[in-house]
Amino acid sequence: MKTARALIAALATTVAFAIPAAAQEKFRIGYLRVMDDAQAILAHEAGLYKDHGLDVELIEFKSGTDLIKAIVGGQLQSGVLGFTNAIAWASRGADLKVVSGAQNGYHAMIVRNDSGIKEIADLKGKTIASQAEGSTADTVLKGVVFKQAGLKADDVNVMGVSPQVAVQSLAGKRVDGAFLFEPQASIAKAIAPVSQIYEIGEVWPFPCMVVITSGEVLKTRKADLWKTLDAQKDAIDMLQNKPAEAAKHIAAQFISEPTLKTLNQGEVPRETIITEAIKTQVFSPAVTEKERARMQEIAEIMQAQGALKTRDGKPFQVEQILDLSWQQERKL
Amino acid sequence: MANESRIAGLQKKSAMALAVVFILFMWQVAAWSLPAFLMPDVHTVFVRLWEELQSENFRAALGGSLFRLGVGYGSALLLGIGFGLVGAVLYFFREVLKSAIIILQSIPSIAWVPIFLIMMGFGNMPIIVVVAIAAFFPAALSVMNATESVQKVHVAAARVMGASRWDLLKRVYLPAVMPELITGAQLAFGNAWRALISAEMLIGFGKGLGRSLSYAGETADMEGVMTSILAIAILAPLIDQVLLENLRHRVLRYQYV
Repeated sequence: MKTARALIAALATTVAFAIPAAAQEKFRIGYLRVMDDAQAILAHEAGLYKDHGLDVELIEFKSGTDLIKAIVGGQLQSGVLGFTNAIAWASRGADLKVVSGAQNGYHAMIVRNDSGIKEIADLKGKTIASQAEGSTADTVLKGVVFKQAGLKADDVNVMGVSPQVAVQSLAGKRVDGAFLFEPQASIAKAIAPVSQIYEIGEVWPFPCMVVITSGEVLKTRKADLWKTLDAQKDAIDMLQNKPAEAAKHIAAQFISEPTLKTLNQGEVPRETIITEAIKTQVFSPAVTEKERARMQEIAEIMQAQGALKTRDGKPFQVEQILDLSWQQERKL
Repeated sequence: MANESRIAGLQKKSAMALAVVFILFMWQVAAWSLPAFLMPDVHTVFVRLWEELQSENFRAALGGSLFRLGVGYGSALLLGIGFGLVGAVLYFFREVLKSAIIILQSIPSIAWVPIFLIMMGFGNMPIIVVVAIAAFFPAALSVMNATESVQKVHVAAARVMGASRWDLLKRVYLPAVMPELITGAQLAFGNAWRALISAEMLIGFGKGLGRSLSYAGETADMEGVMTSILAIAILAPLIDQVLLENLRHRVLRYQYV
């Protein structure tokens, strides 16, 4: 009995000391398995975080609305996700900061060829797959895409699912269309009889993905955070300048088999599909003046949709959650 | 003797009130120890619920949920009673059905959602079927178990008096199984309600309490989350106590004399 007790006590002590120690070392970054988050994934796969002397653990989430909860709860140090999530929580009092840009919104509306849909207005009464309600994709889908086509949010049945499930639903005829990120849009076009009818980046460019952290991390682990941003900036350089090399590192994250069975071209190596998908994207570590204005515009859309409520009812000021000292320091 | 094991009406009500006070107190303790954007105060949520009740959107969500519950739970009860009673006169059928239920009821009805979405499409139907499955098993099982304990002498007496199979079901089995049927219906209601909210949260179609809850969670509106939880927590016992408990008293008058 005595030995057992001593053993338990020793074990408890080890665990008590080991957990905070491990938490101190590791830097946990949340991501979504989409091209918009390629910088976070590539920095990990290509060993760029290690080059900057960091031990980073990447944790995957289904949607930004889940990821942000892990940042608010303190389980993650940062994440690459839609900035609307930060606004929603910050407006309620959570201490969150947007510290860098990542990618400009790429969301394509892909529809089944047999659905007869030619433009966004034809979606009335149809069912489509998109991201979870309240996410950035959902906000712009309803507040910009539908609105510009004269549709109301309730005119279309929107199924909130993960990007992977959205592609499966589209290929399996469960939905008439899907509002997709890359590379899911490219994959869907390669494997199923579908067409792209719309891409928001061409019509209404906006800073979709940003790097979000908590005020606490900014206070206690600022040096580490900046190192992750440096590593992600290196990743962005590779994505923009050497897409084929970047694809080699990250292709397996999106397509598990070495080749993808396409509808018209037979088996195509996954790297080819991913390289093409990377080329459609605009990555940028800096948040520009113009993008800040767009962010404010989206915040106002969210307020109009009822997804964002400030305590005093006044428009939410996006500036209050921006901490762009890293990009100023790096002169971006 | 029977009356001694029951507590008086007033005591029962004060016990219920004490339970409510305890739950609200624990909630408030959590609200004191967490920031307001994570756990709102009890009174702010009650105020919000009152405001929501005036809003068209919330009433539509409430109506949508109750409609799905009504159709799903109603059809589960009808089928459960129907199958259970048929099992009373067809013994082999009863054994087969009972074995099937024992296997199937261990599967959470929500697990069927991915298949139902493909089979029935994205709409009300998969939610209603999930609710019906959740409620069917306890209803059918309670009726079947009750029919087994119907006294043989009653059945024999009815037969001697020339009762057909239909007469037997209607005049012997149905009255005999009533007490257990109502307990089964109450059990089924709890299952149906839980399945409804989970299915609405998962499927996210139309308007419903589950969907409102999940949307509030996605948009950082914890006050909205707690408001939906409060509405769910108030509605379920209300339906159980007012509707089902009243039905029990009416149908089983003789037990309460």
